[in-house]
Amino acid sequence: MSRYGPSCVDTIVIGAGPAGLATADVLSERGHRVLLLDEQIAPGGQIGRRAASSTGFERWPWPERYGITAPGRPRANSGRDGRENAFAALERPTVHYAPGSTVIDAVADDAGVRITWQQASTIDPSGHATGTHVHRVTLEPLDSNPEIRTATLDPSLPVRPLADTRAAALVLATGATERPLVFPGHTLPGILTAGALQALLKQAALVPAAGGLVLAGQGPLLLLVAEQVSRAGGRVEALLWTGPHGAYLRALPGLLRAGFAEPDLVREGARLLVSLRRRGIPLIDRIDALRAHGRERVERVTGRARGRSFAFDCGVLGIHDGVLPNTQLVRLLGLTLARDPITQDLVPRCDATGASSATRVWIAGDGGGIGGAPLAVLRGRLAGLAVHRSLTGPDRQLDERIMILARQVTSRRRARTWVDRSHPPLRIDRFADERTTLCRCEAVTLGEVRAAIAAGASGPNRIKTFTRCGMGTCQGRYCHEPLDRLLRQSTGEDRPQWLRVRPPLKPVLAIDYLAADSAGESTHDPMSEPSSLTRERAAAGTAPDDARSTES
Amino acid sequence: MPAYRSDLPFVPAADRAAREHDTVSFEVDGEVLVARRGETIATALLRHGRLAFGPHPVTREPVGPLCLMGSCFGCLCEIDGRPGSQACLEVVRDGLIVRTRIDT
Repeated sequence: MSRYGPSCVDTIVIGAGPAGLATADVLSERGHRVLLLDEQIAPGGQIGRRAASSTGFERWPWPERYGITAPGRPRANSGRDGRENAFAALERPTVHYAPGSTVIDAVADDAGVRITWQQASTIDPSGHATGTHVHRVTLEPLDSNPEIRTATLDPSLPVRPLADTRAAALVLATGATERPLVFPGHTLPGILTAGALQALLKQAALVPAAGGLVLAGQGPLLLLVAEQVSRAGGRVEALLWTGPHGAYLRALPGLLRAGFAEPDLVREGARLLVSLRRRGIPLIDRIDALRAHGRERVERVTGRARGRSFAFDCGVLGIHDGVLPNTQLVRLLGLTLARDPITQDLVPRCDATGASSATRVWIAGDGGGIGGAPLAVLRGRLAGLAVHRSLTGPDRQLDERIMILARQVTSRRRARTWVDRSHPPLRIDRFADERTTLCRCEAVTLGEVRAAIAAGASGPNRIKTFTRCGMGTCQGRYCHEPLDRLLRQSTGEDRPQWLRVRPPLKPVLAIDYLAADSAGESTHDPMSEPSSLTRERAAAGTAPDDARSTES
Repeated sequence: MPAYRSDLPFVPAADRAAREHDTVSFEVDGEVLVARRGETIATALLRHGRLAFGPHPVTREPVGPLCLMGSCFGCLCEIDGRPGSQACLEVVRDGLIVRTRIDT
């Protein structure tokens, strides 16, 4: 990890998961300086999630013990597990890794890209808890600022991310979020996503108490969570599989193809199914109705499967309906999205190397379309090579490597499509009724959104204006996809259109935001003691600015 | 090693490493809680059986964390005086003062 601040870096990588770490590795290996921003408290992304420690991160025993392997590609001279150190980039002096860093604003225009981010004090790498700081990063066009790449870091400087950092390329490696499973009662406390159950295991070594866990939904991750929780001493009372009947059969030709291209993936799936059967976890499929009950928290889940009713008491209900690219930053930057031909999900448009619709912006890993962790490592490396090429110019050997890697990534992604084919997203009203919440933050129901559509709200942004759906604190992170699904399924309209994203991306204190602005090129040191103004803690500016909304 | 109650929705995994760990103590709504060093504030609250972090600002019904990865905003708390902070994105540390979602 860098011990000096990056007043100028070659590349900013957002996200320290498998893709972002691989990009940072490739670039730093070639001498480029990288600012690696990550929102989480420790590197590794969701798959490599671990507890934080004073040395930056803890080598958590769980990954190996519970089959949660760190991402990496096999290399002959690597550690005993035959995998390269996925965290190699963090040890290079040219990489400045900033955990707990949340991007709150980003603008892309002719002048370049400008990013504003804040780093929480509790995970300040310097170890001094002094308050949250807001920083600005400017990504300037390379040609207008030739000195950017030649500026040198002063090793005598202490750790001090400057208020205004400049860079020449931006790589978004923001990963995936889970597709919400929408059903009556889904907002009750005690209902957590499959990813949240993994987070509890990987970061806090917690499992649901015996007799208390029911899982509902579909997708490989749900099976993996059932297996991991069981191995860690937990017990799954029932697995309620919501996948459409016959989907596996229809996806069989793809599965056979995948068997050749991605044998590890298919073997892992088969292993999970065998393991769940051996553990005797009751699997209930062909579900027509699903509902969670409880007063203060989830207490019971009921439904109907194969024409018969079922009911389970539960203290924790784990839900999952597949994963989606996290496009929050992509939409804020105004990059172009397109529909995935199989899932119909909105996916950033990018070429085989991850180059987005904006120059100098690349997208690596699941954030550019779901491919999984092993592929995210390759896509991260590919984006790294492409950025390297853009910084140093074309080179025959480099171009060849990029081409080979791009071809490999494309064919492996194609092979993986059987996963999407065998787990098609559910119709939004499969379990939900008119009173079911669609937008958690603003408590907007499915019925209210339907009424808005009937009244002429023709797109997601109009529905937002009519109903406040997507206008709450999460800024549509959760409801943008169910809203899109509802709109497509009730109007038949499937051209790509999406909820606009407004700054700030995450809550930020107005006073911190303004302080960063006024800092500009001054010598303001954000790592020093916070100003008295910061201590006064002005009201949080959490709501997106929708006054600027100009629906057309 | 802290004592665990058996009526909690989450328990330590069946492994010595899960039970033996350094602890930190912090304050939540005036109550002192013991957490595992290196975990987030959100998992520390779940560890103590707090599934709900406060009333929903619109419906007044209880809300709790859903995703634990920074997306759902179900874990919003006031952390060391900073309102609107996501408890799943901050490491728990000694002496931290947390107020769960304030009824406004």
